[in-house]
Amino acid sequence: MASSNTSSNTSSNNIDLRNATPHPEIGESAENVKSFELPGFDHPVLITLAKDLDPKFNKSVLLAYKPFVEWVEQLKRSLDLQTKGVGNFEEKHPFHDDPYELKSIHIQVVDFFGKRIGFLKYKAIIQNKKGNEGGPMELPGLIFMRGGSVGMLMILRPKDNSEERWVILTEQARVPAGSLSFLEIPAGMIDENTEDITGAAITEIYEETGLKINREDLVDMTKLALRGSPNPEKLKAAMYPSPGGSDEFIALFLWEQEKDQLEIASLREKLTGDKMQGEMITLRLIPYEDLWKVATRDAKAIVSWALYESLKRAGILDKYGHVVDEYDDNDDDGAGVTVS
Amino acid sequence: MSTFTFPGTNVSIKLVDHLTKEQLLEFPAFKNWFKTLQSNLALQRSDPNHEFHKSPYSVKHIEIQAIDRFGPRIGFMKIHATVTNKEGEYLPGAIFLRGASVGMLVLLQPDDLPRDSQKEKHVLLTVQPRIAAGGLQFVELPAGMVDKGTFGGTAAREIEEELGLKIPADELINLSELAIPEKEEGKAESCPRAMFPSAGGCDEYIPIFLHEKRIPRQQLKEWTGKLTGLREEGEKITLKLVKLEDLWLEGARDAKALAAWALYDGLKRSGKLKN
Repeated sequence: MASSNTSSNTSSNNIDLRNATPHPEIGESAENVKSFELPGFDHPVLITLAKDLDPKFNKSVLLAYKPFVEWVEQLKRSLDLQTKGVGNFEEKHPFHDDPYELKSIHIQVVDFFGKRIGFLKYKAIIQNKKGNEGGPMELPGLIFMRGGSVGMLMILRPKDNSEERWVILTEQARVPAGSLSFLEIPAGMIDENTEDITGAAITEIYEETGLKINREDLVDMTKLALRGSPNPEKLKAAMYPSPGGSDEFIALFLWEQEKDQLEIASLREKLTGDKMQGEMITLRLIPYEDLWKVATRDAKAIVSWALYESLKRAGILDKYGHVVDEYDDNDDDGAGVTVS
Repeated sequence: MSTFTFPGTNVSIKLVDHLTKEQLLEFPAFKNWFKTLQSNLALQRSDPNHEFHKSPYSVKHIEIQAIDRFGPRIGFMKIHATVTNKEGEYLPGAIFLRGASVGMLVLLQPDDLPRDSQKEKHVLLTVQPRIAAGGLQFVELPAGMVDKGTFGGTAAREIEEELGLKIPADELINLSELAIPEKEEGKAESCPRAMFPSAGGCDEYIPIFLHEKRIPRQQLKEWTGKLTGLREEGEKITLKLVKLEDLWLEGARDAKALAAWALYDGLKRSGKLKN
C-alpha cells in the first residue's frame, strides 16, 4: 500500500552533525546517530534515527510512508499560516510575531507490518525564536503515527417498519484496552486505487452476512458535518481520536440499508448464537436505541451516533438516512479523506 | 538493556535504556493496563464458554521500545506485547501507552431562565496547537485530569485564568459512568467505564465529566465577548464559547467533544441526567 517514492530535491549527503543533539533517552553519541535532511523546508530540518530501529527502515521508506508525508504537508500548511499576510477582516495569527518552526525529528520506534510501516513513534522539535523569559518555547511534539481509516455506522432497517433499526457491531480482542471482547462499529481502510473499503471487519461482515459494502452506499457524515466550517489549516474532514498524541483521523460513514424483515431476523439469529470458538472478529446486531449505551467505550461508535442524530435533527439526513437533495454535493472542499 | 520477569507471572519484559524495572512497575499506565489485561485473560480458562477457552491467549513477552519523560516522570511509552496461544496465533500487540485523562463538558447557562430550561446552554472549548494532528488551532473539549479533587491541567488553568472559573470535583458528574453500568449483563470482563479513543493501538481512556453552571446573563455576555476578542499574542491555548446545539458542528473533529454531546443528549433524553 506504499505510494511512490517522494524524491528529494535538496538532499545533500554531507550532513553536519556537529550540532545534532543526541536523544537523551537513547544516550548515544552524535557520531552513531543516523540522520538525513527532510526536504521541502527553507531551513535545515534534521531527521535522526534511534540506533536499534528495524533495518528495513531508511530515508526512502520514511518519505514513501503516506501518513508521514501528509503530516509534514499538514504541519507545513499550519506553520506557514502564522506569517501569512493579513487581509482586511482577517485576524492576525496569534503566533504571527514569533512563529514556530519545525527544527528536527527523532524517529524512536518503527513497527512494520510485513514490508510496510504499521506504526511510527517520533519526537518533533517545534520551537519559536524569542519565546518568553525562559527562552524559546516548544510545542509538545511526541507523536504516535498510524494514519487514517474509516468507521462505519451500519444500520439495517426492516422494509415494512421505518421506525425499527439495527446496528452491526464488531467484537474483538483489543490488547491495548486490556480486553478480549471490545465492542466497536466496523472499521476499515479505503483502498487508494479502487476506493473499496477493505479490512478484516469488512471481510468478516461479508463472510458472515453476505453484505457487501459499496462505496456509493456510504454517506460521509464527518464531511457533511464539517462543510461550511472555516478550515484555514485544511485539516481532514474526519474525527481525530487523540489529536494531542496521534495523527490518527477517522472518517465516519453511514451505511443504512433496507432489508426484508425475514432477512434481518435470520441475521439476528445467526449473529446472536454462541460465539464460534477462536473467531478473531465476532459480529453483533443490536437495536439502534441501545447503541450509545452499549458501544459507549468506542469513540467511533459514540461519535458516529452523535453525527447521525445531529444530521437527522438538522434535516440534512432524511428518515431513511439519505442526504436531503440540497445538501448533496460531490465537490471536495479540500478537507476530504482518502486513506490507503 | 535488561530483561526481567514480571513478579508472579511468566511474562518476560525487556527494558530500554534509562528505564529501571522499578520505574516501569510504578508507571501507572503500565500497571493498570497489565492488571486489566491479565485479569481478563484469566477469564478464558475460568469460563468454559469463553470463545478462547480451548486455546487461551497469554502474554509471553513485553518489549519496551521507547519512553518519553516529562521531567522526571514517565509520560508515554511505546511497547510491543507478544500475546499468543498454543496454535501460534497472535493478537496485535503494538501499544502506545499513555494512561487515562478526562474530558470536561462545561455548560454555562444564563440564570434568568427557568431551572428546567434547556435553552441557551453554552459549551466551553479550547483552541490550541496539536502537532500530532498537524494543526496550530485545534478545537477540542477541554482535557485534563482530575487531581486531588479538582479538574487540573493546561485547559483547567486557562479556564481559571481567563474566567476565574475553578471546577471542584464535587460539582462534577461522571457522564461515562452514568451511561455505562458497573456490572454489564453477560459481561464478565472488567474494563474502565470511559471512552477509548483508539483501542486498537492505544491504552488511553477518557471519562467525560459534566460541570453545569448557571451564571448571570451579563457575565455570560462578558465572557463571550472576552473570548472572541483578539487573542493575546503568543498565547498557546485559548478558549471559545459555543452554543450547545452548535457543538456538533464546531467540535466535529474532536472525539471528546462529540462523545460529550452524545452522552449528555442520551442521558438527558433517557431521564438519567436530571437538572
